[in-house]
Amino acid sequence: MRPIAIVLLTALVGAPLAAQTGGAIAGRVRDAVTGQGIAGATIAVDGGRQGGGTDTSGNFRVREVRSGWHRVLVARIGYRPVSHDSVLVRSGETITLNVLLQPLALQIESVTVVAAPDRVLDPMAPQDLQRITGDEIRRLPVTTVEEAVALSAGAVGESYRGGRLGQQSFVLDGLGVKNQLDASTGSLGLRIPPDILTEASLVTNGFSARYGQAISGLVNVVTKDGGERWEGRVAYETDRPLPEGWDYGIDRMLISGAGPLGRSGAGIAAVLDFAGRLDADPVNAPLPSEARDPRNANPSLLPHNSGERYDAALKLTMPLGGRQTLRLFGLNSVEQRLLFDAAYKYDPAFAPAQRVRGTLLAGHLQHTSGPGALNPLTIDLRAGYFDRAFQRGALAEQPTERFGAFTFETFHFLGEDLAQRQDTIAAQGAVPGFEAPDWSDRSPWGVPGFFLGFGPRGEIAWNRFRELRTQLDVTLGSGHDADFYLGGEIARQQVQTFQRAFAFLPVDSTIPPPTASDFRPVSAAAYAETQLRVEDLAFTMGLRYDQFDGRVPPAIGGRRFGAQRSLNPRLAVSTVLKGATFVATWGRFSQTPDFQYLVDAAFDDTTRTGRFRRGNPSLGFEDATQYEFSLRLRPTDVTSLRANLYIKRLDGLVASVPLGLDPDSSIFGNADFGTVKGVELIFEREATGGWGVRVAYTLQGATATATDAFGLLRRIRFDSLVGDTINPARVEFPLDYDRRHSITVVGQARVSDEAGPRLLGWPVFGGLEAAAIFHYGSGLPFSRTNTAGDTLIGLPNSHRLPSEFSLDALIRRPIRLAGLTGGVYLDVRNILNRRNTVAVRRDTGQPELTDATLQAIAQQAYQDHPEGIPYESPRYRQWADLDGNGLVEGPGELLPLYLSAARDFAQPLFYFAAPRVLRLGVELTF
Amino acid sequence: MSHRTWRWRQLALLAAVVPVGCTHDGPFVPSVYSPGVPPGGGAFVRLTYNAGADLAPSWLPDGSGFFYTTERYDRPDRDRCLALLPAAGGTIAREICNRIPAADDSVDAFAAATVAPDGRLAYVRASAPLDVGRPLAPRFTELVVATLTDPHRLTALQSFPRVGPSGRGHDGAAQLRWLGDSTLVYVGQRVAYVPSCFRCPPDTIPSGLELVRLAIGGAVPVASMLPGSDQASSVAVTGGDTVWFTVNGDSRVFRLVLSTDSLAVVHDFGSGGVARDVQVVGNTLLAVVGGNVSFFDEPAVGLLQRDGGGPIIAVDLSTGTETVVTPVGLLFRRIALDPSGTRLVAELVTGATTDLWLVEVP
Repeated sequence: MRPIAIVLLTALVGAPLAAQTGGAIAGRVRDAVTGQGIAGATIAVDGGRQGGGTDTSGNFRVREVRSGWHRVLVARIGYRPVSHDSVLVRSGETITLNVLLQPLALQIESVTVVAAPDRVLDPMAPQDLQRITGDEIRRLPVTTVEEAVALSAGAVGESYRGGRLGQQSFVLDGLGVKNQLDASTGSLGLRIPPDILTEASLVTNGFSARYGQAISGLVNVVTKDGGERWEGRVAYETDRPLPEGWDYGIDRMLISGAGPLGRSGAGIAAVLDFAGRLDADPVNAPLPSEARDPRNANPSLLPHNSGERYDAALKLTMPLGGRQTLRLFGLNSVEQRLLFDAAYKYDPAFAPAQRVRGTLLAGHLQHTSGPGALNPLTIDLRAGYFDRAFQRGALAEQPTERFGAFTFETFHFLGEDLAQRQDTIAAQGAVPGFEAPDWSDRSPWGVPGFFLGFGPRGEIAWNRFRELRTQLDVTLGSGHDADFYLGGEIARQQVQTFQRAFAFLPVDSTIPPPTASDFRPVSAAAYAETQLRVEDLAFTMGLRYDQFDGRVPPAIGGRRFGAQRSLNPRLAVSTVLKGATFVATWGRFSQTPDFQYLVDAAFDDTTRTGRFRRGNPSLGFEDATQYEFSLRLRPTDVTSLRANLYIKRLDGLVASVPLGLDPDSSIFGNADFGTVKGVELIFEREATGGWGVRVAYTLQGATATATDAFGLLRRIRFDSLVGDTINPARVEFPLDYDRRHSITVVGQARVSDEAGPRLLGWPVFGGLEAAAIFHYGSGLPFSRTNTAGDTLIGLPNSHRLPSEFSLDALIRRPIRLAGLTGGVYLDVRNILNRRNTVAVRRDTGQPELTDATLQAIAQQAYQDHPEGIPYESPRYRQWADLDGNGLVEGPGELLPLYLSAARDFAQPLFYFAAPRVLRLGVELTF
Repeated sequence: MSHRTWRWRQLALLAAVVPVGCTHDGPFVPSVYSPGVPPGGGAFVRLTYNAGADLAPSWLPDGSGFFYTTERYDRPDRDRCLALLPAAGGTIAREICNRIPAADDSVDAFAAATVAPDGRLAYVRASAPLDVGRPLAPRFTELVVATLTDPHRLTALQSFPRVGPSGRGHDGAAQLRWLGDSTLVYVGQRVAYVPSCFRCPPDTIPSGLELVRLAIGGAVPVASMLPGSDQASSVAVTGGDTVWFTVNGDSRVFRLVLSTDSLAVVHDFGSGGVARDVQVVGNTLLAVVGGNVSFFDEPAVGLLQRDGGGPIIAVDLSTGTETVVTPVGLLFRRIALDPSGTRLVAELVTGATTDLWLVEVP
């Protein structure tokens, strides 16, 4: 067999292996004297917990080896066994381990040749699987797994390859976890503390038929097992010592530990990761133009915008017998946020808040065949319980911040009990505790306009999604030319929602009724996949069947519509050319629509009295069909270049369509379709010789039809003379995340321990680590609308935001003190303090209102309230009483106040990304 | 590493990373932008500049401020709310309004507030629809009691119109006074809508009928008429046993000791004119005397007293000496003398409206 074929040993095409929790160890065992392959040798991984045997050519492959370090023993009667105890396996990759065994008759040491996996040329490595390890996250200026994954080519935040939010799936240790209720508008509710992470990766091409529920990408996370020795980290980072303007009230505390439990082989890993920020969403907005604006005093921090996050994870790994391993994993995440609302700038106590809580309990029982098995079998049985609860609205009482932004208490909301009881009868009346808002009298301008006070907006939004998922995966190797993957899953879910708008008012003809739903969908899937190898060619053929049944009760959604079904074939072929690897994939993917679109909703769009959206229980899958061609090159030993060309057709995308003639009512349907095509170029210089760099460039176009019931008026126009449709609805327009160009450069460097100048014999810069991330992205599209927001100006998403870029860096100085090791670090985001525009007003196309518009809305506000303001009124401003008669009256005195109030209210804040943010950290490891 | 050593190191690590006492810069906090003191100074200070009417001040028991009824000129329904001004004036510290959005289609008036030492707040609330052609009388009028901390969680004591203790019809209540912990005294009023001239719009004329003592300690409020209070126009209370009052068209001030039912004339302003709005603190008695006041018999209605204000006169009860407190030509009414007896707040009638003034008592 040629070397190329050895590389292809098991010839799993990279793509199908993507998103697994483990990789493979493959190689050939040969006689050190004759060079012939040795048949019947046993390969034992981790003391025989996993393993396999060699075929008649001496080739072997051990599949489904979990990511991380492993001990491998190769033995054969008549030969001296070889042990290697530091074999690093990464998910989706095959590490090559070639072994020369010495016959026992000769007293010569056996030889092990460990070939580091060639992540470029190895066809088993997916072309566009972009990985980051937990250790890398610690060394880079990123905090969360989401931020780390966003460094991947084709990612715009949590949007991948032009897809909208929620079109990705999250796979945790092989178990799919998804917020199926409102993934397109809400978060997952779970955050993986990076310290329990082995690695995270983003897969954007044709992933294995094992995985579904995503049409734009998979975020695959593998957590660490408790190892053979104890290790851990305690860290605290903050920006408190920094001067005013640089202090955002950041506190993050982290404690992690992992190690063995006794000598039974069991292990434990646990992490507590708490973070709080006095301004959880700082913006790099310009200073206010009004001198009396209190934001001038501390423009960096917005009031009532703090947040706190608590993440706790625990994992137990227990061997059961010689062939089984049981893993139990628990993760609890709570995020509480006070939300700044410009209307409540001067009465923040009435501004909204939200709480998201997520809990995951998972069990994984793995059975593997032992060493010597020629047809190794791996069976994975997983079960997971996922519970996500969301609440948004007005707080019953303001929490007390006890340490930084930490309140250490659970937020309580007005109407919370009503929502959780889903009591739509009681909610018909005004909800107790709610007071009607009125114009605030606490602004510097005093006038009754723009700013609210005295009561909250009256929103109650609550939902809960629960899921019990059972998943069975069987991996069967058949010699070295075929592998089979079979499996399936079933998920029983429960969706509960409650919404009420204007809760301070009873329901009437202008106030939409409260909506609630409680239904129990069932989702199921089955798949079969095989890989066949013919010399240098590898083929993968997979078929996945998905179905879901929303089971929306007739009382909510009318008649039952039964299950929706989808068949998704996936094909791939790969080959190794001279110095390059080529992979072609084709796949069809389906994802269940958000369950929120199956049921009715009432909501307040702030410009109207409230809108009503009819649920559509007959919604079907959203689909995508993707072609991709990938070419990987290795110009030098330490550099690599990858190029991915892809075309993805989207179909059945959920969109709102008009419901009857009521302009404020809509229903959702699988109405839109689109196209995403692009090229990704990824250059990497591996971190050797003290430095490494990775450059990713993406050229992409993502378009789709854009049906929107609320913005319909301008989209479909008819020529008044001939009656032709000028802007037919089935024309594709840029998708919201259609970023044409994006470049991400990640560089890392490390000074050797003894290098650099010395101070009192101490190498000042010895061991210094530095990492930097530069990101450039061309502007995202947006739509212009009229001032009311319900009529498009021009075509959908026909305008573009300015381009944006940022430079982040992290410098770490390892320290060793009294036998303790650790480090201090400085993490700086947006070093250049670039003011990136991330949104604009739809009516102006700019972050700001025009002067003419400001004048107009000020004039309108004055006309609404032309009455004078007497001296004793809290609205009275002495400096505005030009004639000193105790009454601010008339346009001469009142209009300037209204204009200032308008300018204050309309000042752009959240149209800008974060400013420069620094944090200092100290960590100790053991 | 031994277990003990490991634990020690853990503790050391924890101690090393626990932050100590750093404080954050906080986000901005809105300032107080309105003036804290009234403009000007001297013995006569104008406290309110409201374009609408400011009516019926009533001091808090501790003298730290006073409630009054203010007409919300910034609201299309012109609601009348209770406002609390600090003792020296300045900016309204608190406002109690009917803020139920459903009430926007009516004029909702809160009036005649009086606060008990224990924080209970009694007031009269009335509501009239905004509809064109609506009846002149309110849709409902209630005498209610609540607390300062939650003034909207109220207990209705009486609704109007009702038959008063004397058998006459009462359209409303004014000049509420706490008499001890569980008794209120008020002027039971007739409210007439009388045009002041041919084709003039009707003028609302509240006129006292009698003093009502309302015992609210029991399960059901019990009302009784105070003896000798027929045609009473104003009332003041000192201690828990003494009631001072004036009557329509009369220049005398009466004192009624409830425990003995002894009624006496304590002062007669004589030719000074009709006395009303009596207030007493210690040996100082204040009243509005004369001025723009008339007492007449309106056909089909009965006796009415129309009060357009007048000068305030102080009387030293120990000597009977009268002192004119207010400048000549200014018409005041509805005096509220603060608990110390050193200053008063009163309505100053200016044209079609009234504002409140703070007056030092000599």
